[in-house]
Amino acid sequence: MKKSIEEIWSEGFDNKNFSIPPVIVNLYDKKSILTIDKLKAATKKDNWSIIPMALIVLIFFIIKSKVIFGLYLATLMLSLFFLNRKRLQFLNTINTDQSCFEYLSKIQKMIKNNVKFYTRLLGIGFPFLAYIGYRLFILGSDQKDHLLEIYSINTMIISPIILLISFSIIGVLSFRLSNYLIYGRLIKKIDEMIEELAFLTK
Amino acid sequence: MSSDFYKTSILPHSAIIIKICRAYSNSQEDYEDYYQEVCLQIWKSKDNFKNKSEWSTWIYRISLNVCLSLLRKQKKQDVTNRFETSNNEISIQSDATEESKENDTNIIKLYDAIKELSEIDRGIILLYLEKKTYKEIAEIMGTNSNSIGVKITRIKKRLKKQLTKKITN
Repeated sequence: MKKSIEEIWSEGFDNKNFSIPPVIVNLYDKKSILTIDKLKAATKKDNWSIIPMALIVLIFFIIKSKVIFGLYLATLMLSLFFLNRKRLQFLNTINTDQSCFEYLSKIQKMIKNNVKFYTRLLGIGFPFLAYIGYRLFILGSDQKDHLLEIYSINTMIISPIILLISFSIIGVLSFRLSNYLIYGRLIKKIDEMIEELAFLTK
Repeated sequence: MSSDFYKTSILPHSAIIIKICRAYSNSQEDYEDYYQEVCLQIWKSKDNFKNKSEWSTWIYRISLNVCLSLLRKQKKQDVTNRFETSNNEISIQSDATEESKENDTNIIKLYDAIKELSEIDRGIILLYLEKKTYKEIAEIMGTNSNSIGVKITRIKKRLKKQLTKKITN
């Protein structure tokens, strides 16, 4: 090696082209469009995964000779798919030509509304639907007579209440957990960008 | 970020940011993102600058911190993504003269060798090459100045070995 490290370093920067700083473009525009694209892709993938899951559930219960229960679950899952699709249509209306602060704020609001909506749906609606499913499951069971026999009047009243509460807790917790695992990082990124943009506009 | 602040306080020191960002990024796209992020962080933290050190020292410190944190973030991301970007070399426009071509080749190889060092060693050697004193290096890197001299000797030895290998190849 003819030259020392120090010489290579200083001579390397004699070339002015090497020291030209990149143009500062709208950093947040690029970042936010990328985040929105990721969010769109994740929601699409997440929602479409319901379809094969519904099919698997249906086939599984048909094999287990519980056709009605299987159909019930598959219908519920398909309803969830269409409901999600309707609620997520909002993402396609986002106009990235607007200022990124504006459309990121809209998305943040939409995410908050959706979390509120699904928490209510899974906390209140889901227990009833799950309870119907549970009853269907018992009615379709070989042990139906035995199960109905061992239920006392008390348990007939208390058990639905306990079941409804349990389904409600399970529904909300599983929604929050899956939401955190799938979208947690993206939601955090959006929140951070909004915070930074708000700071920058001060 | 106001363009006045960028022109008066960042642009005159852009060479510092460029040198550091190039040492930590794997592609032209990454390099530009790192550069912008560093500028943004300098602007955001300008009120924390208390005149205890020089403004350029402050820029070095922020540039290194931002690049280190971006690099760590990137490492956590999809591995395949990194493989895709690592193959893109940072583009450097070059003058036509033979001498400058040789200088460009050498500096690219030097950067390649620097990138093979650990994240912290990269920072130390960059500051050393920028002729910062041991005290300043220790201050920017947040380490003890007594050990900096020994560390630099070791890093230089390793760097020289890697660079010789790259130049002879």
